[in-house]
Amino acid sequence: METLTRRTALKLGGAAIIAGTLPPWLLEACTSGGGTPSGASALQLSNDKVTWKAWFEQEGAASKSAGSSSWKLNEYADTSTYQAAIRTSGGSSKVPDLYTWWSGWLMKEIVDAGYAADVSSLWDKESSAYDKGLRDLFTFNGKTYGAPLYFGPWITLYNKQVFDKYQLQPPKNWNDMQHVLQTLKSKGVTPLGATIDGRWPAFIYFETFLVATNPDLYTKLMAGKAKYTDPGVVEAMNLWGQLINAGYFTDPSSVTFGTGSSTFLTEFSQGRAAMLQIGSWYEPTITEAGMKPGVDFGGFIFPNAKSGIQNSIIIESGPLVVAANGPHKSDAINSLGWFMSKAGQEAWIKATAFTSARSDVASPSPIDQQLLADMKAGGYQQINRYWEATPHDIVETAIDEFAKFMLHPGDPMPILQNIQKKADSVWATIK
Amino acid sequence: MASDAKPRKAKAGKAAAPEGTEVAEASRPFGRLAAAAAPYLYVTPMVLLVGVFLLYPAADTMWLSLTKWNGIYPPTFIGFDNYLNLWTDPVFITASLNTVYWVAGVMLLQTALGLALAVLLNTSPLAELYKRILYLPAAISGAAIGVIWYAIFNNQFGILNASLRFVGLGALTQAWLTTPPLNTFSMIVAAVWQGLGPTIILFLVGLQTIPRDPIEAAQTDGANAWQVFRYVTLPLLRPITVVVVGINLINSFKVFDIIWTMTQGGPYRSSETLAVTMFRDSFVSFEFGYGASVAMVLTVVTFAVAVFYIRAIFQRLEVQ
Repeated sequence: METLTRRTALKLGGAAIIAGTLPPWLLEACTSGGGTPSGASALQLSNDKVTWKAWFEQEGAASKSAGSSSWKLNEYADTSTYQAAIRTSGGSSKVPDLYTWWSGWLMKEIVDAGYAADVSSLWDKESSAYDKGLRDLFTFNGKTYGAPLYFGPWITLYNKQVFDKYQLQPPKNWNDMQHVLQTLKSKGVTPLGATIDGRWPAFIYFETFLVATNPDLYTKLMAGKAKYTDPGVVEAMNLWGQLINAGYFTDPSSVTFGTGSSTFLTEFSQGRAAMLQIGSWYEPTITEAGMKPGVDFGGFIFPNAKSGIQNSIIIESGPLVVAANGPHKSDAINSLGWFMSKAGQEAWIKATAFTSARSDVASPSPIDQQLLADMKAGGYQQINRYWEATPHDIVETAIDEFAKFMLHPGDPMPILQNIQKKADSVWATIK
Repeated sequence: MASDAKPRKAKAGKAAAPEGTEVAEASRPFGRLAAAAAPYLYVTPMVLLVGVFLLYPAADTMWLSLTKWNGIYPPTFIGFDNYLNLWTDPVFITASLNTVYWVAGVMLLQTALGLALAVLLNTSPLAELYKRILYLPAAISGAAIGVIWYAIFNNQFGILNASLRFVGLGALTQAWLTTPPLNTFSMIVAAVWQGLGPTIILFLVGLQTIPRDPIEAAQTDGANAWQVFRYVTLPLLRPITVVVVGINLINSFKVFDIIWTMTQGGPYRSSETLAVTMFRDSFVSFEFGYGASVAMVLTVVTFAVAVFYIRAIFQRLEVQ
């Protein structure tokens, strides 16, 4: 009787164990996309920007009021799942009419695959209102494939009250910057925010220091025409490492740029950390935390660390794309045309408080207004952000290596060699 | 055996059938066909479900693992290249080692702690209260567990390091989530905390079904509490222990949500397990073929361990 009981228990346990081996097969099921396109009256707009929901809804309603189609949102909380959905549905008619994407190499993939509709005519119509450099981000083989959903120059945001307290001014050159860093550190304030949370922020200071020391090398490196082991890259990494060792950065393993108890925002708003290098799109997040732009916090362009180099600023812009295979392609192009128009951008910038990409639509933030004026006055060349500027396979490897460097700053060469090894294999398949 | 049963069954049916039924059955060949097909019809829905949601994806994943596919262009057949590359990939090797840590850690800690607490609770007057408290984490999602324990283990703002500093043990503070392999061990603690409740309940069920006679006999013979536990209770708990260990074994192979919410497998992919590596390669790096090869390895290893475990247990019982 006891044996029978044991056997029964074992059989039940065995069944449970075998059943437990099944979930890895979910890999296959996970590749399927989201919802299906709706009727022509409402264009399906897919995105991974769930916190932008209200803004999209307002813009969609404004689009409808202006005689174009409204937008029906299809949102993905997880970026990876979203990308997988678009990648696997982009060639079919199940693709949404409109979708948000990334510029650079990530965009090149979907353009080469024929997933994005040519919207060059919309840019031709609005050519006087947008910077050519911005259009270039979405242009491949002479055709343009998306409209700028957001435009974010990368700046150094700083706590004005902390700067005022220690009689500091936004630095205009590297000597000024060193003075700011040393003063803040001596007063017990962590000068710069840094994190590896979410992985991607690990590239921020790599691109910052390389652009600040050798922007031409950065451009060549992004295009596979230079190596990560080149002396100029090593020099930028050494500068970064020196500043980490000097204690000028927050503990990258402790703070996050998001919300929660360990967010950088708390450190920044309470004056324990003074600066952060990030896209201007982060300003509304700081504003929501109770700080007023231009009053409580300001921004400046990170100064060059070497003299005699071209003024350069990192910019980031993601496109809103019309699906080439979408069920309502013509309506979607019309709607995108309205989105790019002055009326469309006025509504969008009003909703989001983003930096305006259109020259005839003012940015609401005084920080952005000053930034755009400084860019123009200083003749700054616009350089695409690291995330978009180089093939994503290299980025994925590099951000993990940069995170390693942030946690264990030392000889950068082993890290750079690891990235270069990946870069060599990736470029070999592209060239 | 089956051929013997059929005529007997038919004969019995014939004897019991009313007059005229035989003629009616003979005139309804489809009725007999339907009766014969009925069992297959009953299992058809499950066969279809398993086929569509398990066998087909499994076969497709197997095929995918032999290709290079970024999700956009058609997959390119590359034979066993993905599998060959696995063995020289430091991330895969680290993930494999971490998976071993997880399996050993969860299996040993959860089983041992679960058993110890179940034994304590079995005689405690507050057992009902403690059971509810200890089971609570199991009712929380893995993602929420990850968030909770992230707040505990955070280097600068975490409760653990703050507590250590508060009681004057600042020298013991650690970068719990960013120092490998300490980050893996930290997450194992979180997983054990979540899984402890069901393990305790299973052991309590086992303890409550043990007959009193052998325990009383051992006590009468002068066995102390430890001897009773070691030589009477523990052997009688073997069936439930087998189930508990088996479930913990499989769960530790599959763990994903806690890791993803606490470290995302980082920093620098140092805390990935095979399940996380599979996800990252597939859905973050978009190397679906390579990710599928990791999935295949994980599945084969999990299946092999499970089968080996069950066979070993059965063989042991047969010997007994």
